[in-house]
Amino acid sequence: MTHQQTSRINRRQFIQSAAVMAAASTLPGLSWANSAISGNNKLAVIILRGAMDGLAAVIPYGDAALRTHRAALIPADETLLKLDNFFALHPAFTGLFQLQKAGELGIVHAIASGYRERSHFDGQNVLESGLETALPNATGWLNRAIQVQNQQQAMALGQSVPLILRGQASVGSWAPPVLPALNEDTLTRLQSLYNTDSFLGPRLQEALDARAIVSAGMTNSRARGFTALIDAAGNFLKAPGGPNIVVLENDGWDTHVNQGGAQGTLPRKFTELDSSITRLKTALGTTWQNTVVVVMTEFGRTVRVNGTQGTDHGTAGVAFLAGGGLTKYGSRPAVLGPWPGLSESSLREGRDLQPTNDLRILIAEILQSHMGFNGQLLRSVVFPGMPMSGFRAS
Amino acid sequence: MTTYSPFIAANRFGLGIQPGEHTSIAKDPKGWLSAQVALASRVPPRYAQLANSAQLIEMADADYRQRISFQQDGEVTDAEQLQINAAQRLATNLMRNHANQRLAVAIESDTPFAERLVRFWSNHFSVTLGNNKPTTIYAGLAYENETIRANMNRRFEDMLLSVARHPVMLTYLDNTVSLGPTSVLGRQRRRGLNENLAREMLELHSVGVDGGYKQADVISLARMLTGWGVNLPTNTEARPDLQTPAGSFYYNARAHEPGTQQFLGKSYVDNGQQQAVAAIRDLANHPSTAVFIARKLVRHFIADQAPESAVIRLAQVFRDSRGDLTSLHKALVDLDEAWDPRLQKLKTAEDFVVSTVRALPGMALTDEILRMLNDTLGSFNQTPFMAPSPAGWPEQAEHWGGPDALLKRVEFINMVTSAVGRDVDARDIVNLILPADPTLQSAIRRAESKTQALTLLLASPQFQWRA
Repeated sequence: MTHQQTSRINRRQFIQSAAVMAAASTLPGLSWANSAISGNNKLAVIILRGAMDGLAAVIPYGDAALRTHRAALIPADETLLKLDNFFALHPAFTGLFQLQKAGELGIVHAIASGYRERSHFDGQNVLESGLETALPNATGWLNRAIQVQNQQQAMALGQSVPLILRGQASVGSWAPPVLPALNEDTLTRLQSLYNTDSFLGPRLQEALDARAIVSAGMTNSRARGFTALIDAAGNFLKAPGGPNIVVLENDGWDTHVNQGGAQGTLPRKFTELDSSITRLKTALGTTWQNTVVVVMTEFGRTVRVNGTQGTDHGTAGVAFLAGGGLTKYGSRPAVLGPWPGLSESSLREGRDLQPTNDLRILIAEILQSHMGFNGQLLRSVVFPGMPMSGFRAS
Repeated sequence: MTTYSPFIAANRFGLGIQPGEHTSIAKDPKGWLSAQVALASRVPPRYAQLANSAQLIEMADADYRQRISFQQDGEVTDAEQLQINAAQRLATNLMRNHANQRLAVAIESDTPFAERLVRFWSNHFSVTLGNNKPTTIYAGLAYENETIRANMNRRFEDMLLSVARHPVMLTYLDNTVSLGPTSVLGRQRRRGLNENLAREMLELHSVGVDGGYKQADVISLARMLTGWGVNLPTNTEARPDLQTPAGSFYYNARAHEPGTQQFLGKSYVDNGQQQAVAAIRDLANHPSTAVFIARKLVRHFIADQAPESAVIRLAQVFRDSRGDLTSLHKALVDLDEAWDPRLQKLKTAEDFVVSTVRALPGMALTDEILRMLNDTLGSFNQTPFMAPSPAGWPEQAEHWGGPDALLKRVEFINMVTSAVGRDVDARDIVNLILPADPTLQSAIRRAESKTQALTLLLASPQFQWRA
């Protein structure tokens, strides 16, 4: 590439990005005033593993091309939970529909991470590292975030710490206990053995701290599986001195075969997600008012139904935001993000929903305006490759 | 100058040292490992009586059909419910027995490196068995023995092909429902391709995600694989091939996508099921496969961050021997990096449990104890054949050593030592099972009881690492 070509392309890119920046708004009604940011604000991140079909979750029923691509996957029109004259929630999302009416739900459609291939593992790696490409030894964006803003404490709920929270900053983890209790003296002696192990030592300490918080809060809970993790999230986030950020993982979203329209595999997952978020609201009590939940997945799924009544790996999809913490952003359209359309020529590589927003930009907005993170550090350390444009609301 | 440590031999490459074998391993640690490689395809005596996968798939299919037919013709009667319960009890016992035998084989093995290699490959070609694919739920162990163990002393291409043709894999990754869009059946039923198996064969089993394939290659391989399925009856028809056993591999020409396919820069003419066979053999010997497999072996056995020099060396052996697994496995222990004491791997949950029992002399492997150990694996989320995704169990220490998992390990040791702590003196075994540092030595000496001493030894950070 000659020097001349380089500068021409750079100039064109500059003009394009300047135009994008001018057109882009931040989240509607969002103010950068610190009054909105309180040290008590909470964040819950739910990772949906396997790639949620965004077009089945938030159905663009007003797009004339939708039916030609996936008629078999669309529930009956009268059952749709219509958000406006274009988008509807899948009928399974009754709880989210109520939250929407209360201003406690945000939906961003046609959004994607920086990843543009179709591997789950790499897609999740990029979703959680916040980078451009999958790297085997990447650290997680949320770990880097709490490293630069170290008054924040994060906790992974589940059997292991997911990539999003891996890195230099120390984080907690918790999963439902199943084995017998230990003698305190033995534990103390063990702790001193672990003190010299720089990898395992801090981790054992985190576990012992976490156990102390939970055992105080959930003596009567008999919940299992994801529900147990949701209950724990509620207890952790409202505990004085507990973590203000939690991460939960939910898998089973890879619906290649018979994913179901009104009922079936995917609608059951929708019901689980819907009731989990409702349950979290209940568990949090008044803490819900300063909480934002981010629900994200590695990529969307193909626009067309495949040969086996399912959908394959795609590109753009849906991110949900929920929580009383959203009311401070004021009134806004039910579904945010420019709609790329579903006509043949609008599809990415002839098969996928084209992304119109970058997930990192949305997350950076939430980290900045809700959690009070420094915008420059978000750009340089947390999401170094994030596009310069702002969030595009419409 | 490389020092060959018996602890590295037994803990890094094996399943944990048994105190009694320390002396014989110490004579020639590397020779002890190399000698096991040729024995890797031996079938352990505990597996001699197990049914094969076709029988187990036929049985699961029959159970499933019976249950569905009872449920579909209206109310399930009491007599029908009794039949369902009886079948379920049998199935539960069978699966529990398989899990117990698999665990016992690891604990008792006198060729633990060979056993680790089998488990490495089984995880490389991971299958997750669940009720959404009811026909294969009993066949995990049979799959492992038929595809992995049976090919341990053959070529990688033989193993890859054996896996791709196996009914458990074909079912798990949806190839059984994939139809060539313009095949006879595809046109009749207006259904088409499922890319799942083809994609994972490229991404996870051979060249790896950066191995240089495109979406078009995924589709080509998926097309070539159409017709590869399982010989089972449907609701309306008997099984398609009455000459071969139910539940075994079946090639259905009427589902096969006709036509020549371009795959990774080569052209494959349509000669029925041989089309995919040829493509898979080439895929197995692709230069990217050599590197992908080499890196995975090094990452599994030597260090999460695989030393590049070791990867390059193994990849060369892979290419030079055309994927001969015996040569590859021997080359692994010939690497200098293999014996570097600065490199460390954290034990997986399963290997932690297995090495715990191996460290305790004379622990009888009754069904009850094996069942308790299997339940423990469940609580660590490492039930065999239940990995979270087709990528199998992860490698990194971060995955296995999360705070909560670590606490569970300590709690498990607490449970074990509260049962056997009075029978085993930690001072007798500490120097036989790991390279104990002075802190650990003194903690054991100063323990308040034998039970506590054993807890401190087995729950120590050093016992969590494979050094």
